[in-house]
Amino acid sequence: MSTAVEVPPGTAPPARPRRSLTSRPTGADIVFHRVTSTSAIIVLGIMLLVGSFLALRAADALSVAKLDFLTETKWEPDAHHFGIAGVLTGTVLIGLVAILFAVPLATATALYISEYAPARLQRTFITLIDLMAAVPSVVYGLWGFFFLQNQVVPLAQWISERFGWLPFLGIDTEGYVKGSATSQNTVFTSSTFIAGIVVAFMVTPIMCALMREAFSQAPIGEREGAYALGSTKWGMIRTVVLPFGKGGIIGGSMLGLGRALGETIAVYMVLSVVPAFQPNIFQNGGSSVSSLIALRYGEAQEFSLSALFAAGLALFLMTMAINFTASTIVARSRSGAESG
Amino acid sequence: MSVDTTSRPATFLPTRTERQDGTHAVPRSIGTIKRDDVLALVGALGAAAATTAALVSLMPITGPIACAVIGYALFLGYYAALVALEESAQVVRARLASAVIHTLSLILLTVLILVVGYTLVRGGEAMVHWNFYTQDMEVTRPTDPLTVGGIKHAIVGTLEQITIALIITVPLGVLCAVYLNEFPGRFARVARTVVEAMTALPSVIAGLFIYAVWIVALGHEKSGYAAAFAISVMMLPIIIRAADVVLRLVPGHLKEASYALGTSHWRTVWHVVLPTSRSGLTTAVILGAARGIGETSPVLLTAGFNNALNANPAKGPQVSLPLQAFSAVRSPQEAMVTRGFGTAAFLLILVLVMFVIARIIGGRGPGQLNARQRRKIARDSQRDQQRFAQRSAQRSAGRAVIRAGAVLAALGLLAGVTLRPSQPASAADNSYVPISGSGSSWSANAIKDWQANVVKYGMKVNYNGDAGSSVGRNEFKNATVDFGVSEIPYGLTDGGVTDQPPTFKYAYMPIVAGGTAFMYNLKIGGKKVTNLRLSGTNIARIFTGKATMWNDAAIKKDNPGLAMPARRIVPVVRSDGSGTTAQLTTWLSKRYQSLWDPYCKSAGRSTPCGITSSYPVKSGSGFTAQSGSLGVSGYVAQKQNEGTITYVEYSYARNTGFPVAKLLNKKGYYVEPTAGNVAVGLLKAQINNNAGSVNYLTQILDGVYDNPDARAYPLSSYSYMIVPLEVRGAFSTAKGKTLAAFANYFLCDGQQQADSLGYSPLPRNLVQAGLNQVKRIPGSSGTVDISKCRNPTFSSSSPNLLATTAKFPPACDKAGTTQCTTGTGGAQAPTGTSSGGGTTTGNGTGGTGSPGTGTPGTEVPGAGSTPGTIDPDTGQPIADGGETSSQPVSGTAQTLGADYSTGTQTALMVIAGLALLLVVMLPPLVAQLARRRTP
Repeated sequence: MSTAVEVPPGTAPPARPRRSLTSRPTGADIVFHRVTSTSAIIVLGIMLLVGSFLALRAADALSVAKLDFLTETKWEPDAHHFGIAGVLTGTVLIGLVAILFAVPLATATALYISEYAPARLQRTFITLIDLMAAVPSVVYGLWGFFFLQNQVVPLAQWISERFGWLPFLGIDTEGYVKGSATSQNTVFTSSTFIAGIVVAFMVTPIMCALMREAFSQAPIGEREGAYALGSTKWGMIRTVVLPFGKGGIIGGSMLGLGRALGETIAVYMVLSVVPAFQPNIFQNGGSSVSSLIALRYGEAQEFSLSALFAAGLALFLMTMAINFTASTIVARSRSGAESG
Repeated sequence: MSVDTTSRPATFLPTRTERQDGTHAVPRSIGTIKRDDVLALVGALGAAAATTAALVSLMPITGPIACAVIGYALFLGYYAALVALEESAQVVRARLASAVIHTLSLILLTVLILVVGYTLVRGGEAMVHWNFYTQDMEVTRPTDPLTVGGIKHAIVGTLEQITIALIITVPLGVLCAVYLNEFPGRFARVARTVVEAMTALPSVIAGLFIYAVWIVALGHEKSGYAAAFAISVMMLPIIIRAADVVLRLVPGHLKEASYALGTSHWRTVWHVVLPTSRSGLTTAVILGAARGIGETSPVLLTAGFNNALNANPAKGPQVSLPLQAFSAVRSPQEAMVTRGFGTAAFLLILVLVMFVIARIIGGRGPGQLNARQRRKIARDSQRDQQRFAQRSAQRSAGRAVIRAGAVLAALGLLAGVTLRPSQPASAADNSYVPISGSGSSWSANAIKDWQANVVKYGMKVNYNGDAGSSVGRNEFKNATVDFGVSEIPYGLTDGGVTDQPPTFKYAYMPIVAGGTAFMYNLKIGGKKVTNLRLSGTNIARIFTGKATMWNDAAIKKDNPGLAMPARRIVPVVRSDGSGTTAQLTTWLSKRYQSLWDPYCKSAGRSTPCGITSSYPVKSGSGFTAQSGSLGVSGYVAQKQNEGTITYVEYSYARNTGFPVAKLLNKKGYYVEPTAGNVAVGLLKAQINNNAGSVNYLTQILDGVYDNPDARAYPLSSYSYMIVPLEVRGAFSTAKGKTLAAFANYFLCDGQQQADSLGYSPLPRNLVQAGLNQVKRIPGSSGTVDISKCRNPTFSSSSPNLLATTAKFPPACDKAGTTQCTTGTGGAQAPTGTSSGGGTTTGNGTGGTGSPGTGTPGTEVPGAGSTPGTIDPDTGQPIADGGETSSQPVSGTAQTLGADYSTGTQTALMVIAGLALLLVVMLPPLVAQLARRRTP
């Protein structure tokens, strides 16, 4: 869309060659081009520096750990026993808990804003959701640790004691007696579950914004058509809005997942970090790559620092892949909606 | 983002038509709400509430969340049934969907209000004091009331860091976005892809990158600049992407019109593209800045920590608001937690204000103008027509962006300028330059006290005592701090790896003695236990997962006077590399090898397991890991965390008002790590006296573990400062001078406070040796007359007066069938050995700074995890969490919900929440009204 002038094909007389539209740039234009391209090169340089530095430092650790890096659950880089199987599992579990809570919340809120809310209040709600996205993560962390945790512990205990036989939901703490109210606090606090819920509230607004945008683009003709056929509002949503917004839902959820995986400080505040394989989401202790970095960077020697870089690289690659997939889906759904 | 959102099903009513008889036809309402629907909804709600109430009284349902879940499920059922009475299945589904969607949206709104409200309510206590904004924490101790101390240093830090970050990112980001849009091509495509990839970069990695490059590799200090760089790396892709999107929305016809007039490329950009997207660009920048201000993790790794004002971002650590909030709430002291919430609330308000400004500016899409702007343009173009040739002042494009930056820069400068005057004044009195150090949290309470005391001499010492010894040794080695503090020296092998010493010359200097204490949180019949006794073997069994219940037979044997409860023991260990852990594991590995080795092995470490700085934790063993001494003691001190026990320096127990376990010594007495008992214990410490050795003055504690004196505390040790002996990197002789003066202070006069802080003063020979070490620091000047030091251990008659005069333990502390009832640590209230019903007296005297006469039984316990709330109006403690045990509590089954659901506090919270709803809703409404003026 930024091409300056387009001559519609076929309008020029076929006999005469088309006049070239290129113009000689003025001196100022050359300077303008130089300045902007230099800044683009600088930015690109910084980005590539970050990326390559990450890869380079990670390579030190990876060359020692080799494939064990993917399967080892312990994190003792100084002893050359380290891998991301443990911390990455923790990270993914937090991310999954987060989207488990965030996706219904975000979808419902997006539907509410785009379909149910009175037209006058729509903008207000949109602003509120954007505002929620702007709340600093440390505030969510504080709230999660001091407020939410106490509310969630009984729920966590309730679920865990009834569905503990399912994978990820059990408790394998030694000495824990089922149903004992006395030790619930030390068993069920600082868990992956609570960290996941806190992160869920952080990523919900981002998801919601994308979904709402997708929903609002559902074509009016189909909406009216559905109503004309006697559909209820929900029927219309199910047959028109949701199919059209599918890309937005999937893309938004993935983008939210990407953010959830990288979140540091809120997780670090809530979770008791144990860099090991700990699949029980309700149980005290868990791990995530970013909180591992926050915890261990200071005491890390040369080699352990590169091990942290390796973990960081793995996390980055994962979030990057998720983000790219998400933006592709969102972009495709957008173009689809426009044509439809 | 600001795409058309009003594309709702547009069903239009036909215009009213006149009837023949002149009356208006009443149009049929096409709204879907009928009276029956409302009745069904209300009926279902009522029925669900009633059924839930009945269920709750019949079944043991715990917690408000469980009630809500059950109630909601019932409501859905009833509602479906009621609607189904007269509607089709399709309508029932629609109603249910509508109900669920409304509920979920409401939940999200509630969460937003709770997040904002909770922070503001808890932070409000600190925020109402003006000093909160005008003072820093330099001379404020954590236990001081909220009327002293503040976050000026963090505010200044945040403003400066974000200003620097904006100066870097705004020109670079906007120019790059312009390039991406104006010069499309392969390079632009690549650049756009890379930028997009970088938006996925987790912010902690941005911090890690700057930490590894700027601090570790290039050897700079942690500083405001480092933090600003980290924020920049994180913000840059965000700003570029947002700006890119905004620029892309500039209508093509505007540009083409400009080209059609013969305007050159750059003029088109300058006069058409940038002005058109001005509001969008400003919004992008402000939102990026809000993100940068609020992000903690990049700053956590790069800014360092200080509690005094540092207006110079180039030198020394400079804390920012999120970091200050993060570290303050980790303190066990209620006042510090409140300050942390106050900081977070301030940060929140700052971000929200920025957000509202961004909304007001950026509510319009590109090219959309309000009436005023449109009139202005009309006027302008008329004027332009008249004097087309001599166009003068142009509305410049980036002006708004620059203006936003300028405002922030001005704020930063203003902050800098207003603070300036105080600095030259203090600089004139003396010529101390600020120094910074990090390391041990074991001795941090003493160092923080000393650092506050030397402020009056004009010395500025930044000590990051939350870091841990491993970090301290590492940062000292990397020359990012001027001194380190650690309990263990370099060169020890941990997990098969030797901790390499620095390549430059350095020396150890003992700073203070103390006891590694076992702080616990235990109640019997609702009463807090303050006189627990444990043998070394039992400590080892607890911390190796062998003893898992408090009523373990061997623990019972230690405590003949206590009816030990059948409660799980929760050992709380350090998750970071720690000198305290190293002290404990040295003792475990030397004295209890048979317990330690199998445990260590089962946790995946290689055996024989010697000393280690990071505690091996087995997943599922019921251990909890927290970082820093504040972290572990804070965890134990949480009221609901009953059954926990941790290892920290004695002072932490004193500060939090919690008891410590008396430890059995060789002679058969259970002793507490008081100053005297530590001094006695350390008489048997073996100090490296070879002045030529690199480990000169370091300790070997085997003798202390087995000290046969009845008063000796077996886990006594010294803490060491590691000082540089040569100028290198950021360390200069000027800094050496400050460091030496500081060391001379704490080695001499500082020692007299050791006892009151929960430490034990150094004996004369170590003070002398320390002072000799100080002389080796480059830049050291002046000598100290050791005989003038007011050190309680000094005497002409004995090498350590304190040890000589230390009291012998009473007979009831001897292993056997009796047990003293007196309290320990920060909880001096005695524990009745027989079962009594809540007769113990109120608050202890343990240095919590807020001794108050709690009114047992009448007040409601405060907000759960946070003990000791102070009523802002009366200044009286509402509830003293540390000692709430003084209320009779029957039974041990206590639910958390109970702490919340009762009393006026909840009602107040609700009212405050409603008020907050207004506060939260108001800005967007105002913004909307402001915008509404546009037709």
